[in-house]
Amino acid sequence: MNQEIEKLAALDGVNGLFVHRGGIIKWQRRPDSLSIDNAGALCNAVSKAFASYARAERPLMEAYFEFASQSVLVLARNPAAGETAPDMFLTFLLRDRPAASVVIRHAAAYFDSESAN
Amino acid sequence: MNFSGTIDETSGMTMTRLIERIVHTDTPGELRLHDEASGRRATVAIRRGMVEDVSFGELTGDPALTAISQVMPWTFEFVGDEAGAVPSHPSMVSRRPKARAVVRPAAKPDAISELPLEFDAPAAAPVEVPVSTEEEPPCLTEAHRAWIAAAGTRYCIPFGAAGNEFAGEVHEDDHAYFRSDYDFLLATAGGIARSLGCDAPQVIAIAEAERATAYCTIPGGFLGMIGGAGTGVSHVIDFPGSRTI
Repeated sequence: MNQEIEKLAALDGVNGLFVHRGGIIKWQRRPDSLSIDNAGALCNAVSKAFASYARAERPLMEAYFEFASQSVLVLARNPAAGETAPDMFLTFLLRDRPAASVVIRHAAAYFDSESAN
Repeated sequence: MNFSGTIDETSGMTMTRLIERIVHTDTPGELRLHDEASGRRATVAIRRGMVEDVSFGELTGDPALTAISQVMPWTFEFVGDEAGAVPSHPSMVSRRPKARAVVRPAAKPDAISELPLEFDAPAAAPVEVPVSTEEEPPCLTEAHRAWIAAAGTRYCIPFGAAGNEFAGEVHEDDHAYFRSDYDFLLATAGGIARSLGCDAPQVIAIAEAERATAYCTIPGGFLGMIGGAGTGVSHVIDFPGSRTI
């Protein structure tokens, strides 16, 4: 897993990557500008947002938030059988908007390969 | 037919599903909701086979329905009308927009095409504008309207709202839905913004199985883009350079 994740984190335009289950970070490449506590808060906020939409019967697959200085792109792994909300997330910190498309393609391929194994 | 109960994390039921079931049973009446933790109350009137009226605090209609669906737990009581049942429309409870692009994209581009750096308003000759002391209500600019008119693709529909104005090829019944969706997404983004020490996001996008939706904040409202099944975030975030809007 780590090798594939490393490749995602090294994609052009990616400033940071967090692999997290709910708010629990399993793997991270954190930029110096983001503290450990704030990284945890970010992953918590992301998983809460997805859970909130899942409760409203609108499960999200992707989300994108563009701020003035960076963007947050989140991809959720499809929920396990019997679950309504996804529990595994890839949360990327992106330098700019054009990076999103390539990152989404590679992240989707990663999820596909994970589910095939 | 009267009944009551509680909807919480453990009940395996959501408010949306409960309302749908009441609609499907052709039972007109009023669903009275109570959030015991905060004391808030809401009502959902279901008559003529549809959600006829919703109120939750100061919210009514679609925004109220969206807000209700985000709260848990609720205790509820359904008080049926005496007038009797009428045929229902199973699609009614859906808060989903009616107008949407439905074609699955043939192929995803490797990268988003280069985004315009400037969002130029059409050149206009200088004219004398009468000065008014009253503040003008926000509205879409000519540049916004031009983007809405030009940005559509086979898969995505652009739209926009500012103040009371709404533009774009989406059903007018969905205007409240988009406003509510935008407000909710902005609120949702608050926690993410705080963790990063950022202000509110300029562009927000989400992708679900049936559609992807994106919003770009403009003064007094937003520009939006919605794509049908098979579209993702990357298909709907091609807004003009947001810093210049």
